Amino acid sequence: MASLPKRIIKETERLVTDPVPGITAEPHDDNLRYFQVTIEGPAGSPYEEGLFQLELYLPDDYPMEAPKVRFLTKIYHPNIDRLGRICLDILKTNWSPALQIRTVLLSVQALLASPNPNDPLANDVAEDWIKNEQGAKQTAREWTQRYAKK
Amino acid sequence: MRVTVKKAYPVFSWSWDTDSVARDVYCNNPEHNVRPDINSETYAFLRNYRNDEDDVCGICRVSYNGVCPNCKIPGRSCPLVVGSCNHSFHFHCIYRWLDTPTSKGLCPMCRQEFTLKPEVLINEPHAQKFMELISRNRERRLAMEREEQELNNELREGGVVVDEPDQGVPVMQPGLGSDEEEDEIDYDSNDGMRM
Amino acid sequence: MSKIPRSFRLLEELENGEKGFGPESCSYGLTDADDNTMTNWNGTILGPPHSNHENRIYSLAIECGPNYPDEPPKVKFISKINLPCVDQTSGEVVAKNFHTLRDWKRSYTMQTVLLDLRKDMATATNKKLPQPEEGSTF
Repeated sequence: MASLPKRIIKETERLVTDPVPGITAEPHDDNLRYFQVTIEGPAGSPYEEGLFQLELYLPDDYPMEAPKVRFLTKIYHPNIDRLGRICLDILKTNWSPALQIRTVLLSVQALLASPNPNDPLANDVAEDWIKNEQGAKQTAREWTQRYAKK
Repeated sequence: MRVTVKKAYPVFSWSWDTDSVARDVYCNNPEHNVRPDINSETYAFLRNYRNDEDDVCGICRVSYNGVCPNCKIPGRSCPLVVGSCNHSFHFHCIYRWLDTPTSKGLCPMCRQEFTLKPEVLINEPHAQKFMELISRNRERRLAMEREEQELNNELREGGVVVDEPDQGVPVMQPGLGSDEEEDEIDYDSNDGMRM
Repeated sequence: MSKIPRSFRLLEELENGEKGFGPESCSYGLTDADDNTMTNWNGTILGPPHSNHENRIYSLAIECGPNYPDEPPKVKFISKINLPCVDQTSGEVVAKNFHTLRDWKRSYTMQTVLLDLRKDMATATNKKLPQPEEGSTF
């Protein structure tokens, strides 16, 4: 395997020495571009008290190309689909190489705090969210209890 | 005492002049509208300010005086590029970024169109290549805008109301400059966010 | 080249399959759209022209195990077919008789497998093999 770019080494070190509150990211021993991630549900959101598992991969072209990120834990959210794919502009069309693993994960955490049902990925969830926000949030809380319990 | 110099080993060092921004700020102050006094306190402050974390390329995070990830020897072959937005990058780093369709020709830091700062020259073969890339990007963007316009016209003619989707997931901050700033994301009414 | 992990590789394949990239002669998708382990897939192959398979549509089940794509998927015909590499009682494609599975490379995809099976149907000896009644299953 080609040697790891300095930027990735630096980012990894900083994630360990100066971790972001509520977020962990650790590379796999056999693939240093592949990270095991956990994100705590933001307080005040339906995901509060939940711990969500994610995976993150830095493609060969990183940082010219965005990291790939996916939820492993089931989650009821209008911008996250059943396979855990995330609809977030900075992961697609609005990526910038000035962003980093930590900023990406913070954005994902922020997405949990403020779902955006007008730009949905999981269509049925978004519909539910628009029609009956209280009910949808209740479902999200139940799913957090069921699948993301710490 | 007499000293005879038998041999001398000159040692040289160089660095990119990344203080141009600091100097600009300094010169724009009408009181200092002269050559900056590099011994002044203000200038020293600006220098230090710039020299902290900021003195790395925002793309590869290697010092400006170092090289981009694909080069071995720093200097002329891997020069620094200063944008008109005052953000600097290794030539190869910013070139690779602007050459991707995702970049849309924008600066990675401030998302304004990236153009070369007129006062700052870069070496000729690089400059030529760069200007070509910038004009290619401009054409591409214009073509995209035209296409969008045509599509909108078609939809309008067909009697379809185009509902512009609200695309903003409110997580982007305009200033991507320093890590500290990036970590401060507005979580709306979530005071208890930090755990 | 670094190694793209299983899940992101399968998501790429899924997107290519959904967008209908690639040839029209084969297609594939997740069996259960809710299965976030992305293990079980459906595949179809359109029988190659100028053969006894012409105009037939073959259904297959593909299983991408936890070590895919380091290890090949398990491939099984659902539609009955008479082909030397296919076990005639279970419909399974026998890896040692089918070069794409036997000499598996990490860069191969489900599409590679389906297209190579289609090529195998069209070889000089295989295209003339008598075929079971259309629509029958293993």
